[in-house]
Amino acid sequence: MKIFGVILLYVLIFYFTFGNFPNTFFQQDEWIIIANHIFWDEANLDWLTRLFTYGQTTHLIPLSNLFSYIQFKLFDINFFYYAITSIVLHFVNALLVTYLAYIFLRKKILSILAGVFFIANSIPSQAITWIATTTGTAGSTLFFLVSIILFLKYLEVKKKGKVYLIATFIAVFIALGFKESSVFLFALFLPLALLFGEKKKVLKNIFIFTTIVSLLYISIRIFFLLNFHSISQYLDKTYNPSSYTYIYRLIATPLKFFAQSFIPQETILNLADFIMFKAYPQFITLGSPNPFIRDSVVADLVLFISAIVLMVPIFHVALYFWKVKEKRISYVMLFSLFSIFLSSIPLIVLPGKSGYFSLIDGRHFYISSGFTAILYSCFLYGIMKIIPKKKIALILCTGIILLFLIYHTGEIRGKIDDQITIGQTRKSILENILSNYTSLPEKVVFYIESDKAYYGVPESQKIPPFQSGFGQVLIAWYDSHGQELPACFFEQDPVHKDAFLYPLLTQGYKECENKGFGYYRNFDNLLDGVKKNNLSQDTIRAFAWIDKEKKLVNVTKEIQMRIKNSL
Amino acid sequence: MIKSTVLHLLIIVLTTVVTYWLLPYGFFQQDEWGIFGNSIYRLLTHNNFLELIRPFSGFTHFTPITTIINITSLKIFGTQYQYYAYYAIVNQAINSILVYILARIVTKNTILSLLAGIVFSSYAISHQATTWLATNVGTEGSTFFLLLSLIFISRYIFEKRTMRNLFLSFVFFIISIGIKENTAFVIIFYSLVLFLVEKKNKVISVLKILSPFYILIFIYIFMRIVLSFSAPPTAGTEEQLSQPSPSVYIFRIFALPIRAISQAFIPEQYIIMLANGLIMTAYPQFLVDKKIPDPPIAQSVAVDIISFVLTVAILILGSVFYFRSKDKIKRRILVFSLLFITTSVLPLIFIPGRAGFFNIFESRELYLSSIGASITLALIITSLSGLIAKKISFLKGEYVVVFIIVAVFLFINMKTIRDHLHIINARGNVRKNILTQIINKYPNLTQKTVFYVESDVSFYGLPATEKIMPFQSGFGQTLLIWYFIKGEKFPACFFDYRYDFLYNIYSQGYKECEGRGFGYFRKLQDLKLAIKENTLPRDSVIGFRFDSHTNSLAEITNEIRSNL
Repeated sequence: MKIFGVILLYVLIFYFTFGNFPNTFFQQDEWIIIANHIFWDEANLDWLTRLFTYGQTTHLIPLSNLFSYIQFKLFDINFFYYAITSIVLHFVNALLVTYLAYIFLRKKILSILAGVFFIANSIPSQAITWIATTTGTAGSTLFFLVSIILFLKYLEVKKKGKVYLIATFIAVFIALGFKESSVFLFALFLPLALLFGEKKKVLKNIFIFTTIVSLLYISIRIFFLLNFHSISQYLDKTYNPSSYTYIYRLIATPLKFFAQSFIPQETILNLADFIMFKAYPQFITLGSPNPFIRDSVVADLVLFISAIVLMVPIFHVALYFWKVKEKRISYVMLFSLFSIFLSSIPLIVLPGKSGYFSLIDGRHFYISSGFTAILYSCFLYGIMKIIPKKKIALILCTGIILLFLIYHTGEIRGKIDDQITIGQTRKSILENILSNYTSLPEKVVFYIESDKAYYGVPESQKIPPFQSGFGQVLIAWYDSHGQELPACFFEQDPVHKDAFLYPLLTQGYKECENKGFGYYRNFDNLLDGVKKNNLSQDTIRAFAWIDKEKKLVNVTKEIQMRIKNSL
Repeated sequence: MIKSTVLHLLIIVLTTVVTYWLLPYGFFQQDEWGIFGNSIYRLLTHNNFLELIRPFSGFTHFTPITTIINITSLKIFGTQYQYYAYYAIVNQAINSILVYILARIVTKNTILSLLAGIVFSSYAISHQATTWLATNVGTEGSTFFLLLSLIFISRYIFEKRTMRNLFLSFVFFIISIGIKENTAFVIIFYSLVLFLVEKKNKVISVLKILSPFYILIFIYIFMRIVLSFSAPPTAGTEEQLSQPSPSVYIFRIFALPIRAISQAFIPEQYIIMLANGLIMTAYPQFLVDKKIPDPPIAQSVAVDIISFVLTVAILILGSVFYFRSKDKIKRRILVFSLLFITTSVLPLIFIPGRAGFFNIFESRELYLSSIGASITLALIITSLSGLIAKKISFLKGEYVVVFIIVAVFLFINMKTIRDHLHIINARGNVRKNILTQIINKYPNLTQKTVFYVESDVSFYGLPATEKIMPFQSGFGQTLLIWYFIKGEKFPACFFDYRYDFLYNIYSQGYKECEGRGFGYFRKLQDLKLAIKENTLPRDSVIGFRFDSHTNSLAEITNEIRSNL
C-alpha cells in the first residue's frame, strides 16, 4: 500500500513536470540517429558493425545503439512513444534512486524525498527531454544505479555474496555499454566498501576484481580506438591541451561540475552578468557584457565561488552527523559528494575545443543527480536535527521542498512548452511539404527559402527553423513515409561522421543508385546545382518559410519559372 | 629584559636600514611634483593656518596634517631627495618597532613579536609605502599613529582596562585620520575584536567602550559632507571622479577583503604569473597570437580567480591551524591578523572612477594589511619551526630553524626591494641629470620663457607618436617646480591646482599671468604655433634634445631659434 502511495506521488509529480513532453518533436541529433538506423537496414550491415563501429568517433556504446534501434523499429518516427519511453526510463531511475537512498540512509521519508528531488530537478532534465541522448544517458544511469545497489547488497549479505558481486560487474558493463560516462563507477566500489563494508578480505577481493574489470574495459577501449575509431577531427592546434591543462582540469572540472549540479545555468549566467557590471565595466559594450568573457572566465569565477560556498554547509551538516554518532548519514553525504565530483572525470578528457568548457550541458548531470538528490535529503534531515525548534525546522524544510518543486517543475514545464511551440512548427512544415508532394520523382530538388537566420548562424545564412540540416531531415522524413530512398543517401561520411546534408548550413545535390536528391535554400546555389547536374526545372519542389507569420508557402511554380528563365 | 628589548629594536632598525639602503640614491618619480606644486600654491596664496589646511576640493582627500607636513618639508628640504628618503626610512623603522610592540601585547611572545617586526620592516609586498615618497607621508605617517592607537586599544583589551589607554588610542586615531582617511576602517576592526573578546552583553559593551570613536566618526562624516558642499569642486575628468552605483560598493565590501587576504601574502608578480598560466591552461581563446595571455583579461578576471583560490587555500589552512591549535593566544593572533587584513582594505571601496575597478592592490595600499600579514607570518614561522625542529634532529632546536626561515625570507624580500630600487634609482638619476643640466645651462630665466625639449622615444606605454621625456608626469610642470625651488620667482597662477598647468604627461602649452610667461613644448609644430599666437620673441625659446640611447641631453637652442 505504501509503495503504491509512493508511486502515485511520483506519477503526480511526473504529470506536473513532464506531462506535456509527448507533445514535443524531434530536435536535432535524432535525425541522424534515424538516418543511421535506416542505413543499417538498407545497407544490410552486420551486427558487429552496427553496434560497435558504424558512425562511432569516440564512443563505444553498443547497447545504446541497440536500444535506440529497437525503438526505431517499434515506433518509426512517432515521437509520442519515444517520449513515453524517456519518461518511463526516468521513472524507473527515480524508483532506483529511492531504493538506493533507502539502503544508504535507512529512512523511508528521506529516500522518498530523494526520489522527488531526482524527478523534479530541472538541471539534468535535458537527459529526458532531448530524446537523442535519453537512451544513452538514462539507460546508463539505470544500470549504474543497479550496479551500486547490487554492490551494497553484496556488502550486506553473508551468503551468496559472490553472485551479487558478479551481478554488480555485469551491470557495470551494461551501464558502460549504454554510455561511458558511468566509467567512474570503478572508482566508487572501494570507497563504498570502506565506508559501508566490514571485512578486510572483502576489500582485497574488491580491489582485485575492480582492477581486473577496469583493465579489461580499458583494453577493449584501446583496441577499438586503435582499430576502428578516430578522434582526429576533434583535434585543433589552437586547442591542444598540455599536461598542465589536464592537471588543472582535474581540480577545476569537479568544482565546476559540483556547483552546476546545484545551481541552474541561468542563475550562473545572471551572477556572471552581475559580477561583470560590478567589477569589470571595461568588458561591457552598449550595456551588454561581452558574452565570450562572461560565458568562460567570469562564469568560472562564479562557479568556483559557488562551489566553495555550497561546500561549507554540506561539510557543516556532515560534521554534525559525525559528532552526534549518526556516522552513516555523514558517510552517505561524503560519498555522494565524492560521486558528484568523480562523475565529472569523463569531461576532463574531452578532446579539442570541446574540452575547454565552463558551462556544462544539463544531460551530463543526470548520472550524478541521484547523489545530488540524496545530498538534498541529508541536508534537510540535518536542518531538522540542527535547529532546536522542531516547528521552525519543519516549516523551513517544507518551504525548501516547495520552493524546489515550484522552481524546478516550472523550469522543466517552461522548456517543454518552448519545445512544443518549435516542435509543432517543425512538424507542420514537414507535414505541409509531405501533403503537397506525397511521392517524389526519381530526381528531386527541394528549395526551401527562409526569411530568418536561426540558432546564432550569420544573418546572411537564412535557414528553416531546424537545428540540423533540413535536407537530411527531409530525406529521413520521406523515407519513413514510404518513399523508397537508397542507402547511399543515409551513409555517413567516414571522416566527418556526418550524413548527406546533415550539417546545419549544408546544401547540395547527390545522385546514387539511379536516384537523385537535393536541397537548397539559396537561389544562386540552386541555379548552380541545376546547371551542374543538368537537371530539369520540373525536379524542383520549392517552399518559402515566412517566420513572422509562421507560414510555409508553396512557391514551386515561381521558382521553376525563375530557373527556366535563368537557364 | 631591557637589554634584550634594545637588542630587538636594534635588529629591526638594522633590517630596515639594510633593506632601504639604496633609497636615498634615487629621485622624485611622479606625484611628488604634483604635491610640490600644490604646496607652493598654498604657500603663495594662503595667508592663515585655516586656509592652509582647507581641502582643495570637496570629494577628495581631507588630510590637514599631511598638508602641513608637506609644506614644512618643502620649506626645509626643498627638492633635496635624500632627506625625504631618510625621513621615509626612519618612519618605516619606527613603524616596524611599533609593530613589534603591538605584537608583544597581542601575542605575549617576544620571539614572535621580533619576527613580526622584522617581517614588517622588509616586507616587499608593501614596499611602495616607503619607496614612493609621494605617498610616504600619508601612508607611513597615518600608520604610525594608527599603530599607536592599536597599541593602546590592545593594552585596553588584553592588559589593563584603563581610561588612559582608551583615551590615548582615541587621540592617536584622530591624528591618524588627519593624515590619511584610510585608517578610519579601524573602527570596524576595534568593534569586531571587542565583540569577540567581550563575554557578556557583547553589543552593548562594544557600543559603550567605543562610543567616543563612533561619535568622532559621525562628526567626521558630517564634516566631510559639509566640506563636500562648501569646498570647490574636485579637479579631474568624469572618468576619474564618477561614483559607481551603491550595489558596486556592496559588491566591493565582499570582493576587496577576498582579494586582500591572498595579495597581502603573495606578491603581485606571482599572482599575475599564475593568472597568465591560468589563461594559457584553461582559456586558449584569450591568447594573443596563440601565445601571450590577453593582458586586460589576465590582469582582471583571471587575477580575481587566482586571488579567490589562494584566499580559500589560506583560509582552509588557517581553519585547520585554528581548530588544531590548543593555544588560545595563537588562535587569537590568527583571528586578530586576518580581521585586520580584511578590514584594512575597506576604505578602498570608495576609490572613485575607473581606478576603483582594480583587481590588484597597489603595493602602498597593502601597507596596513602588511601589519596583519607580518604577525601572521611570524606565527607561521614560529609554529613551523617547532614542527620542523621536532622532525629533523640535526637542526638542533627551534631557533636554528627560525633563523634559516627568516634568513631566506629576508633575502627574498630585500632582494625584491633592492632590485626595484636599482631600477627606480637608475631612472631617477637620468631625470636628475636632465634637470641639473638644464638649470646649469640656464640658471636664470627671462620674463617669458618657452622650453622646447624633444625626445626620440615614447615612454610608459604611450603611443609611439607621443615622444616624451623620461618623466612620469608633465615635464613642463617639473621644470616650473625645479626652477621655483632654485629661486625663480614664478607667480602662484602657474601652480593653481584647478588647471593642472603642464602636469599631464602629454601636456604642452604656454601661459602668461602676473607679468610672467612660461611654456613647454615637445613638438616643433606646436611650438611654432604658440610663438605665433603669443607673439613671443625667438630669444624666449630654450631648446634641448634627449637621446634615449645614451640617456644624454643636447642643447639645441640656436638650432630651434633659427628654425622659427
